[in-house]
Amino acid sequence: MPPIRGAWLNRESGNLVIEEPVLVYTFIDPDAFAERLTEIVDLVQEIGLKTGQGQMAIEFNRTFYLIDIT
Amino acid sequence: MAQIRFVTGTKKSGRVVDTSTKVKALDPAVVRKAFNAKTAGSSTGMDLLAIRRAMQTMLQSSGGRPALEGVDERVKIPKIGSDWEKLEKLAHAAGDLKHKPSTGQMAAVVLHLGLMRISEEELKAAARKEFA
Repeated sequence: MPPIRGAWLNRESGNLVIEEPVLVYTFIDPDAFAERLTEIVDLVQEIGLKTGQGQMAIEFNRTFYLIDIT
Repeated sequence: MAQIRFVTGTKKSGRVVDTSTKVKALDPAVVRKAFNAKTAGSSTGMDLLAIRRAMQTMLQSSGGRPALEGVDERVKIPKIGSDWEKLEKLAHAAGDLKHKPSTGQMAAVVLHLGLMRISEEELKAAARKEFA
């Protein structure tokens, strides 16, 4: 997908971070996804840590979720 | 991977119908819990953020009382009590916008967004009474 422009508010510093995140779309097999959900959670956390993100966003079943990177 | 078979619909509508076995959907609550995630919005076009954004865009003032863009006539419609309470709360929540909406204006925007989800194709099919 082409990059989009997004903004994220850092509540600690009050700064609005404007960036061009990359969207990745995927189609899943629900059973396989549920079976390996823990690995996917770990992967999202790992990507977030390695790229220095405060939060990562996922959209699942038309709902947008924010995940704190800890 | 399950095989998906498509068959053509009625000659009238020309719609394509998916007759394959429906895959069991994964509960979003399970995903939210696993990621310890916070819900931040919806892409169905009918979340609180979308309502707020639409209200901000559509509610304009030319000096007098702010009015909704595109409104050309007022009509009376039946009011369901529980819906009205919800609309009052939505209007109250949008009270910090540049122009504070009335409950009636909020009702109009919610109806507008809801109707936007029905495509012109579906409307045409409904008019032709092609829905079973």
